Amino acid sequence: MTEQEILKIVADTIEEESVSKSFVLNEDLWDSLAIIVFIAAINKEFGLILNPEEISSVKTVENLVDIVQNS
Amino acid sequence: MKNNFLDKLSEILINDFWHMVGHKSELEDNDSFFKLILNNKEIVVFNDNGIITAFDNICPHRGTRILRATNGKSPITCPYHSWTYKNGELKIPNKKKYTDCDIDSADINKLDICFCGDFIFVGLEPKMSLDRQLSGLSSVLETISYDISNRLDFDSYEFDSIFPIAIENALEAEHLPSVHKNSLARLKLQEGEYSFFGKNSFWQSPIGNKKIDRDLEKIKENFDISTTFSGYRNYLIFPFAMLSSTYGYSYSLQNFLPGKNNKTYFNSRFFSSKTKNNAVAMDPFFKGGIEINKQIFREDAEICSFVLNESWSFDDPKYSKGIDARIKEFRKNCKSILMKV
Repeated sequence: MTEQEILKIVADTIEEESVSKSFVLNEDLWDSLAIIVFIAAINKEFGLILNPEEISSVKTVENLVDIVQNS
Repeated sequence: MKNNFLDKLSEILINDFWHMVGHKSELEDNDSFFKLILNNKEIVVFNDNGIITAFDNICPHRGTRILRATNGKSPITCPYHSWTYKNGELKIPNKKKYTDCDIDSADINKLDICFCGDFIFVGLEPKMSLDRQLSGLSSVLETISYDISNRLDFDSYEFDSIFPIAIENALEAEHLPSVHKNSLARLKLQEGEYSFFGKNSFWQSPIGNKKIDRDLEKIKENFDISTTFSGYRNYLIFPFAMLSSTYGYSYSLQNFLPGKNNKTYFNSRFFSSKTKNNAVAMDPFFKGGIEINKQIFREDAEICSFVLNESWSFDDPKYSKGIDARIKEFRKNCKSILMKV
């Protein structure tokens, strides 16, 4: 999967038009529901099963991209 | 409200009705149990080798409290002289030596127990069948009960208010923006619709927070449930139980039981609903739900402690809106029950 594809899923999840890798995921945006929506979307799109704890602890979109690309 | 009226009402409600106290999934293992306080007595509901049994937590020998924890897994053995209840029988050490009494009549004091699907109800001296008491809600509750997977949280404490105040707080949503600003109010629940099933009542509301609503829709396909709906639902299972859920993805069961000294014994459970085999791990979602529920109920307990007990009466609230119909109905039911005595 490409970085752009992942960024698009992140943007859809937090309902932003677009996000960059440096975008900070604060607690209001990255709550338990957003985390599950993102995990479910990645699973649907790429068939990947992400670790919820790992996804919960990210601080930036860059962390997310790294995790997804290394899964 | 005069205390003697409330005491009488509590006594009738406790004795004459079935009480929804839990779900079979909480007691899957042999010797698993949970406790509640009914009629100011500790009641234990436990799995006796596959048979769900309820009894007051008092050993018939010397009156000792048998189990101390609120829930868990333990043989039903009195810590004082090791009298043990197992496989439907009370095992008494050195039983043959009790020659001066009718030792064969010794038993734990059991309560009536009944089920609606996998939901567990207990009764002291219920005056009607559970089905009649549920007045048309049986099939709804039964289906919901089969959607539930397991209990993820159990919490219990006291509300510093009489039980009608605690229950009525759970029956109205007007307090959400002020009391639950950072918790339940985030859903922006709309006015919704209510309906009645005998003395039980139901309220459903669309979620006004469109982002949350869309997110909840997006994860729908991960759940393996029969009762699917959009929004929030809340049932009063008269007299003391509330069952609530958002989208049917999890359920919260709360009991508001009359307590001593104008207090309410409160307990809540958080149940996850069944997910599909190929579903993504829902742990953060359920964990978030547990945290938010704990916050909501603590907020409810706090605000209820500020409501004067004397302010409650059987009469309609002096100032009310259409949506307060559930409160009016609750008061009307309490009044008619008391008037029959």
